[in-house]
Amino acid sequence: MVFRDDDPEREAAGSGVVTSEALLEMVEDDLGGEVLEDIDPTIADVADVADGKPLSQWRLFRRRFLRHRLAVAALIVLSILLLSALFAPLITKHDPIAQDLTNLRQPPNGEHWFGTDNLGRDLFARVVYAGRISLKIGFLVSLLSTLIGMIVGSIAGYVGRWVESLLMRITDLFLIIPGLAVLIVANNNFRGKRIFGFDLGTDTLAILILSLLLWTTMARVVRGVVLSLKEKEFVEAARASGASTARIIVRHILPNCIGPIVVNTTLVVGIAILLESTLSFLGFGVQPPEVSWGYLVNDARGTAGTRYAYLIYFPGAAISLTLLAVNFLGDGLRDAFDPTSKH
Amino acid sequence: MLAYIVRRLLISIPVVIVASMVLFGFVSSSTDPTARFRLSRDPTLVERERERLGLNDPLVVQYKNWAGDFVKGEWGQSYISRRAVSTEIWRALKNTVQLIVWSVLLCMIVAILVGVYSAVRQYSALDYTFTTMSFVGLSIPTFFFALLAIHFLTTELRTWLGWDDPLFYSVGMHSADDKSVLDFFRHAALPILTLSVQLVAGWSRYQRSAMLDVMGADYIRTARAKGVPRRKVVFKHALRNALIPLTTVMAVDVGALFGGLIVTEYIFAWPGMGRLFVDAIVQGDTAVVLPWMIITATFIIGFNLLADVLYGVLDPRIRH
Repeated sequence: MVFRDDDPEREAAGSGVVTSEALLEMVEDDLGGEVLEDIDPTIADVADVADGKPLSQWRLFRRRFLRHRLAVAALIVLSILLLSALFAPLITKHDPIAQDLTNLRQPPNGEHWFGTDNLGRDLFARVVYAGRISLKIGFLVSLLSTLIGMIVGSIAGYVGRWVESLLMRITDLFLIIPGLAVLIVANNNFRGKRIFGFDLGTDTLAILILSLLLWTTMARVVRGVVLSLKEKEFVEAARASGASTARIIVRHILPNCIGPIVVNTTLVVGIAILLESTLSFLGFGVQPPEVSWGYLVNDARGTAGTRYAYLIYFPGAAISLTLLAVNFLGDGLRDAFDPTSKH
Repeated sequence: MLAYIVRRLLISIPVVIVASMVLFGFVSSSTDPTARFRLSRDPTLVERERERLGLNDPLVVQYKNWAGDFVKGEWGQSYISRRAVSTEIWRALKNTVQLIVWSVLLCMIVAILVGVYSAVRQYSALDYTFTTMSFVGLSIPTFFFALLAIHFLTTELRTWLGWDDPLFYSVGMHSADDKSVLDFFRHAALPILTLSVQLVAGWSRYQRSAMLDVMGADYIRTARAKGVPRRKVVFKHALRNALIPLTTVMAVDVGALFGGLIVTEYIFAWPGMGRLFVDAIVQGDTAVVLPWMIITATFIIGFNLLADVLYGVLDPRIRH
């Protein structure tokens, strides 16, 4: 089976070769200092060491990240979205579920920034509060699936033998299962039921199911890195000095996987938000009075083609903006962690 | 080569079997075919139905019976339409395939053109534009794009043109009174467009990086140094090799489309696999769910296999 590396960029990373012709063209195009930095990030890094201060790993990373302007912008956008979700009551004085039947379907105005919906509810407040659910699901799914993926991946990579075969075959299985369909069936049938005595809210259920579906990429990534690291001298040294397997994995190997792990965790936030919003859009996700961005788009679906279509624009734009920011952030983090990769 | 293909085929068989076991276990633990009788006045009805469907047997026996019937083509009967599930799936599959074929043809051409241009003119203004557009394309949820398309390309466009009928329809496959090819495309245009956004965004990035890889290779520089015209180097020497990664990625992606058009078909009321699935879930027609999943999983496995074989055929270095 051909397993596709999720990101096309990494394919290019290996080459890193700029043809002399392209180089000439670039220099002719623009003789600014930027071009030189683009060609070889290490030039700038080395030059900095020359002024006397040694650069720590963290400072090198930060320097490379800050150079990626879109990623920095993405980080700012994400922070704003996150803060507005956290402090929703301070951002808007309107209640997201309070109906105002004298103010139905008002177009965006000074009082209602995003207008009001068919029950007179303030759309801005609804989008901000929906962000709480959407972002919560995105971040928790990302954390949970990272945890599962890290455990499975590091065990498979480090222990090897039949354990590895078994775990990796299980991971493969997730590739051939139609994900969204499984998600719909599971959500549709476990909704409102109690599992192990826990009363599952619709968002808790979504978090659990999404995490169970999305850990496999992380497992694959971590296994790959662990495989390449476990024969290294520092691991052998740790083993020789009597460190346990668990300690070697947690203290010596995983810190060295930090780059791919952080990048993948970031991207999973986007995938989880996208899947959850799709699920809610189809009517299988969160249920009222809880709202997520996908639910809001679904709620306003009938306004497509009418002058009330603004009800679709705002929640839809919120999802798109979040996903765009997450993707750019992931891109910037990848470049920052791995200076040899570039476009 | 033939031995290679046969070997890959043989490896796929246990994969299909294990996948069917997992899906069977999943579906039978999370759906209840007797749920629709819950409100019946007859208290024994649920029990009789469970007995009739064999739901009281151990799961292993149930799987054995089910798998035996499935292989014989007896996939059961839809609770809602009363037609055989195989008929329903076959009909839906034909409609989905039409969407897939046109989208894939369109996306392939656009993605290759965009990818090659971006690689050959790396860091040009247009390259940056394409990169940004593909990021945006990958970030817009399918359902949001589809609704925007309906709003602007159906209603707004009709108003702008001043027509009675919209240029592009947003519901169904055919008009009731018009079965012409033109009518088909007026219906299919928006679903195809919606589907194409993400495919083009992903594939063009892939094509770009594959092309960059090849353009940096020694043999390309040699060809240039020997005086082969740039155009010929790009299209004859580089492009041929740079198409190999895209071919396999395309095969894998297409395999996922057979069960992956749930949102697109749902919004545009396209009577394909995705629509069939959502309708089945909403109506509690659990008889459709399991065969549907097995078929879509089989397509995924089959196209993964195709990707593998294509890779071996196109790039002899890969063959083991």
